[in-house]
Amino acid sequence: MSGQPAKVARAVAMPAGQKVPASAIAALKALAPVTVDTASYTQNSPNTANLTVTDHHGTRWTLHMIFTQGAWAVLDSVHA
Amino acid sequence: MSGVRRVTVLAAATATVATLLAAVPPPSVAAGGPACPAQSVHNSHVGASDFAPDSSGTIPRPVVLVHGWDGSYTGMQELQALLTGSKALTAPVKAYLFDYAQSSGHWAAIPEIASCLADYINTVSRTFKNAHGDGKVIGVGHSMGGLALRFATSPAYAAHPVSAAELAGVVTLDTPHLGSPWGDTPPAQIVQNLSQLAVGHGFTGLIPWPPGTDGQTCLAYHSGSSGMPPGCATPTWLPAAVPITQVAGDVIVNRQIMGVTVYTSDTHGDGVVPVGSSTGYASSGPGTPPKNTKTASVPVTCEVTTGQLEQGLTALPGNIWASAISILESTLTLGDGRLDGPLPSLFAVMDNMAPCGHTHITSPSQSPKAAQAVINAINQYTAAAVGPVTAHDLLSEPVPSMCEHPAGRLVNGVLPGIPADKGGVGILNGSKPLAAFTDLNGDGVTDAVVVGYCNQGGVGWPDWLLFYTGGHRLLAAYDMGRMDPDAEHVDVASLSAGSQSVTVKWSANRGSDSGANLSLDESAEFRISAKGISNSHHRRFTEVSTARKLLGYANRQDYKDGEKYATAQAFGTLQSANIAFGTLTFDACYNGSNPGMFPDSLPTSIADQFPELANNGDWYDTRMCVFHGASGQQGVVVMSHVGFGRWQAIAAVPA
Repeated sequence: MSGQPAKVARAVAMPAGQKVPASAIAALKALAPVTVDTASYTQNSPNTANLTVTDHHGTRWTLHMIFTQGAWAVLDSVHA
Repeated sequence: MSGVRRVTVLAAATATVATLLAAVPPPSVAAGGPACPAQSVHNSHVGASDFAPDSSGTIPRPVVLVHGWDGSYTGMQELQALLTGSKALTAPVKAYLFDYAQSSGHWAAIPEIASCLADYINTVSRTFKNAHGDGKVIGVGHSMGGLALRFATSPAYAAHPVSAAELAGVVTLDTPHLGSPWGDTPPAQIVQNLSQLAVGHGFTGLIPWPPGTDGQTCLAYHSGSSGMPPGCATPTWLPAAVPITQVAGDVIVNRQIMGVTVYTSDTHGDGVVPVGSSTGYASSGPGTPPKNTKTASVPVTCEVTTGQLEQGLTALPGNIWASAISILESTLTLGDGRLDGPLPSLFAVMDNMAPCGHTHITSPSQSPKAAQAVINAINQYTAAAVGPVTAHDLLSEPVPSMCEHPAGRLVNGVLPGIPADKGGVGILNGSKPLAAFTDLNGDGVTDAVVVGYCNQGGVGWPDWLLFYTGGHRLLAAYDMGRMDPDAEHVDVASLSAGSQSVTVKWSANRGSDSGANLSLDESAEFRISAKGISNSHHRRFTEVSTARKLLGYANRQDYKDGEKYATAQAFGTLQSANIAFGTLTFDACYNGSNPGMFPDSLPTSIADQFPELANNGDWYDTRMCVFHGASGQQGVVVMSHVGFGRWQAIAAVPA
């Protein structure tokens, strides 16, 4: 949640030609600090995993992670 | 096509016997295509009692609901329930379910579907007509059910095809007029095979069916008559002049991370049928469509998040959807993010997850916008079938209970059966009604507002506004006394039609007015909706603004403008008072017929100063406006009501 567009773009693995909108970056930054529940990490396949986090509003999310281009990225999320 | 969920729905359907076989009488027209072998026992029963008039004397309009590929009548039950008594309908509806679950894996052209549907609609139409209806049925088809409605009108596929005289219009919900990427694919074949098992056909789905009868094969993409799989009949055109409304679900996939939208992707489809196909009627038949076909398209969009899609995919048993997950993930990250390509397995999940997905589009609770589109189309078709309200129609309209007289139907503009000494109810203002004609409910056909009059044997009670649509149907009624609860009289002066509204001008008596003196003029814009009658732009016109203007003109010695609102004598008196008193200031106006209510500070009886008015009784049409000068001297200007919202000073005197 650094708020730097390049880092956010890497963290969320945007498709070719797409940029993370500035409004989305600001909204994501507003969720910080985010607490990661490391014990919740579940690897579903060699390149997918789930991870539970809690944003600063106290909302718990299950992040769907994907290993792509040599790094883990957040694909999307659902309420935990 | 109805998606994976249909399999379980069908299993439940086979155990349900909720409706009765429709009695299909022998053919009454020359035989054309193949005859219907047998009707489903799950078709809704059709009987004369279905068309009993409601309290306003309106006969319900029949709507036949047709499910889709691999489906059953149960898929349309929620929509049927909504249409039964929905307040959003401008006229009552009787919704019927047509079922072909036992043949729903087949192409819609086969006799068990097209010819049986035609016979069923014939029966509904005939029963409606026998009950003094116009015989025009509305067809609503989901998915392949829309194609079934098309084939049912063709003499090539139905022994007794549905004619234009029997069809007010057709609504298709996610109908693949130009096929589907699901069509003629292994996943569709699997679903069809499973549904064959569910309806008790064993493993017959595994044996290839004769060319042209296999539903999933014939539902392949095509463009009109070209591109149809071998043997598959091209969907035929509806009869000339039968309108069609194409409702098209369109799922927007929202990639969200912790509630924040990173981007959205329009799938341009409902998960099964692309929008281009569900709105593709005009280019989907053999040759060109009949020239005077009215075609409307209504997109219905909804959102589903990628997280929900993934969750839905991973929740499915086994590993058969792993490829879909992989496609989704790679499209969202390494690909271009677009999800409108031919990804059948992914589409199937979207169908299940999205509120406007293919399976859910028939569910008003899941997809209320689609249900509203169906209702709007039904309202339009009903209005077009019935036709506009005419001035002649008004003379025999139903009327509600007014002035404590019972409701009834007018004869030549008057409610019969009321004894002469008990007053009356009617709409005649002299020899003809005071009415305005416009489309009040947005169905594209002219409705009417007419003024209703009533009394109990004495003076007239407040007028009513009566709102009518075609077919002698009273949409709503409004007692104008509600606008002026303290007034004994509320008389409508004029009605003028607006856009789905009517502007009403009326006069009422105010607190100190005598009964016959209506010194308050008002106007407002009235409109109707499912919630009832509402009004806006309510304005009140009194003598006060004119009196204030007059004093201003007098203070400025402005004869030219002042005499627009006063006789020369009255304005001259005001100017004299202005010279004598200094600046004149407005105080208040009072009823001319009741000088006793004037302020005690006035030293002289006003009536004594206007003997000519007192003598001929013109007090009843006047208002007395009191003013004062710079040193407190008082005076009175007499205002006469010379027209709606118009006042003129006819006399003035320093008190």
